[in-house]
Amino acid sequence: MFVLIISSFIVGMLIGLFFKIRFFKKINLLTWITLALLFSMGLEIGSSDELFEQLPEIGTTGLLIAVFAIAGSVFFTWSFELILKRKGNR
Amino acid sequence: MIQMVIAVICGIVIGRFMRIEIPDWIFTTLLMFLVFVVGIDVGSEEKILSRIKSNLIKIFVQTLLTIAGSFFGAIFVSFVTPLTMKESVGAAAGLGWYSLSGIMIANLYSPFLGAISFTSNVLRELLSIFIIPILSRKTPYGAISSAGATAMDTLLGLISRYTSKEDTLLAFGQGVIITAFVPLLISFIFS
Repeated sequence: MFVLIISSFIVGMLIGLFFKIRFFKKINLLTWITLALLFSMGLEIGSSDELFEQLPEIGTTGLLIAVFAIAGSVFFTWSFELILKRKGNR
Repeated sequence: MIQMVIAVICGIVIGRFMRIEIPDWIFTTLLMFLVFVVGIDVGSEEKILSRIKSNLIKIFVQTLLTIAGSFFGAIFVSFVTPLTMKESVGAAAGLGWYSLSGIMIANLYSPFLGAISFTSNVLRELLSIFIIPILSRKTPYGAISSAGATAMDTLLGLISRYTSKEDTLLAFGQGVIITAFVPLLISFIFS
């Protein structure tokens, strides 16, 4: 599974590097596949009573991850910026 | 973003009333195709990538710190929730790219975690819309990092309004590199 997905990504990237393909963008294929897959993720959640009851937990855990991931990113890059500035002033 | 959220909600509502079973191979095929098309898109950005070459080291460090910081935050979350470290880091590995991370994790791991990743990355983008204008006064780099992968598309306009031209280029570069990394990170974590 992992190999299949990684190789489709890499093959796509190589094709994109050598041939500029704008065709997919024009028909918005990406959006439609994405919508279909997200819809089926929703279907899976809705059809399972267990998953459906877990929705509140999904929401709060999602919020926690969002807040702390942002906090971590900001903290790391802010420190990087301060270090760069200090170097520049010297 | 609204249409993506609506797609998930419609799925949940319809799934409540009709038990529809979709065979796994359809998911896998669609997912492979999705990642393939994303790859073509990333590969086609090569011209722009070469334009940002002058700042490449700075952009790379910024990107790595953004990813590392997100993982760091996610590790903390795994201590206060029932999620394992792998699960919370994996959910955060979407780095704001909610559609792809939600889909990939739902297929590679579990729909429960897929939904968490989707929610957390939608919220990451939403929260970023509010904090970028405030944070950019103190730290433009920090403001850019909060946008994660969306720094190259949906939030680029907002970032360019609140930061300098040079920092906007940094944001774009960060978005491009993270976009290329997200599919790799997620399949690596959940393989």
